[in-house]
Amino acid sequence: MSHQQLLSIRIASEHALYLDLATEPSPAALARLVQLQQQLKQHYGHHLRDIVPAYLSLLLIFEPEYFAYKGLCAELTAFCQQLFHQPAPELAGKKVQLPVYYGKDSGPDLPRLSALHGVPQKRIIELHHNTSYLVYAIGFAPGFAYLGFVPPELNSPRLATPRQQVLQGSVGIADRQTAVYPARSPGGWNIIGNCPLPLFDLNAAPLMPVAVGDEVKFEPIERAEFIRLGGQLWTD
Amino acid sequence: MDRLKQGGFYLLKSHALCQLQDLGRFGVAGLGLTEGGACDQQSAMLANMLLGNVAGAALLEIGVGGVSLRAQANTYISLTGAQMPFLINGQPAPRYCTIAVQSGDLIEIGYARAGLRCYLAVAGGFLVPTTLGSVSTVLREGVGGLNGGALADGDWLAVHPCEAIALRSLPYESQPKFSAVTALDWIAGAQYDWFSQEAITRLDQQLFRVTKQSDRMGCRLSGGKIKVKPQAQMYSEGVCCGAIQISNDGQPIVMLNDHQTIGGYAKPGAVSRLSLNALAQCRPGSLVRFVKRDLCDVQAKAARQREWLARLQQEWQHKA
Repeated sequence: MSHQQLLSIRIASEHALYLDLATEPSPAALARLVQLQQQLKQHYGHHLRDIVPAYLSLLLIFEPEYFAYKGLCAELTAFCQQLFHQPAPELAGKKVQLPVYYGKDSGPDLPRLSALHGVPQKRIIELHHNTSYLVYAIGFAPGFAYLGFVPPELNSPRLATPRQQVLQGSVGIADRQTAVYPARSPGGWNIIGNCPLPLFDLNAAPLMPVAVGDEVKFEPIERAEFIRLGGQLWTD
Repeated sequence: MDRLKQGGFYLLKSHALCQLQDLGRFGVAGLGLTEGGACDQQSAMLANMLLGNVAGAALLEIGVGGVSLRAQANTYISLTGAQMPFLINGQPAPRYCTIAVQSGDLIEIGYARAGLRCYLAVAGGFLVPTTLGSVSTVLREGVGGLNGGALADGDWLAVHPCEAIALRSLPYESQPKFSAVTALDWIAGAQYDWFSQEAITRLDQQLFRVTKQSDRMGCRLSGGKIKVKPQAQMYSEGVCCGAIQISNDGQPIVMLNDHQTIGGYAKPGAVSRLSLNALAQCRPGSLVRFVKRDLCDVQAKAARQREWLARLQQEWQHKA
């Protein structure tokens, strides 16, 4: 399926624009997004200050002096046309395994989700770690990777009132997405477990174990192993 | 200790809004790191230019005011941005001016009389290690500054040793002014189509008040509700500085330098960089109004401003 196309270019600010590649997220659209991101970075170098891929679009932030809207639109359209003419890329991201301890003392929302969906907690945990996810975007906080998508049975609305504090490493579900909170923060996702590995470290290279386009699988671990790896419990 | 040999400044009195900044951190927005940097970029650039620094040298952004420092170096400083009482050894000192300070001098910045953020620069810039290419402090992320945080009483800010430099000043007529109602130039973009003509007119034809909930992430405004046409689900997308986000309650938030990098709220467009500088000086309670412009007008204005800064820099270089 190689009939991917540039659907639209939208203005984001006086020196930023969006490229829209799809109307629904899919592995194929994500592969194009990642490919386009890499090639545009290479093509524009430092003139392209920042690039934010997310689900269906790329946000391109240019140096203000460099941004000539009409010229750029024509150039980007031609660039995409040429690229999309080539065979569709495969998702070539890393496969990352993240250990998770699922339990009431790491996932305070497990009982509630179990009641909400009318399935045992064990089943929720199983469904969550038997699925492999794609990183569709990184944002909200440094290193916060939006992973899609959870099985329909796990689709769960955000908390009506977000928590003031969610522990670092918390694994949450919001609607069809799941994610690991890389740092302690306020949060409205349903917490079902905790990953003891750092998801963002300023002193590490790379800064994050995952990138947009990577595949993530969660690997259940026992409580003792979790503690050994430095994991923190809600009851602590 | 190095600090005996190396000059610098002791912060005698500081608070959470006294932060090391430069012009921002770029290239890592895709990892969720915001750009940060001085909220009023032009005042920050002018502060540095008055000292012959590069525009992005590390300086202090001081929100609200109420900061004092002790010089432990013979060097030069400048203060721009908000109108804050500025005293050296108890004597009033001019803003928008190169000022020589001696080791032992007491520098006091009072509370803002107009505007919200001032910029205190030092010759050569403060000597601070960069994080991912920038010193910009982002409190929420714990990134930048001295240890990822705001500056505290007793912190030491090292500076480069400094040669004599030319004294420069920006005439009063050229200094940014603060008005009772701040006009915000904005351009249509993002989800503009999701707003009816009526909603856009409503956005442009009313006064909004800056609320107390505003911070470096965003300027939260309150006014008559702006309605978004009912939509199917919106997938989150990148968010840039200046973006006008309409929250579920119909109130606009204008993204400032510490904005979230991704968001799923509808945005009719974005405020121009020049207007963001002015907005960064609006304190809670002040009034703003949106003025929709064409992209080319906003860009032309930005280009004229860049030319003005370049001319000024050239003029000041000749003086050196």
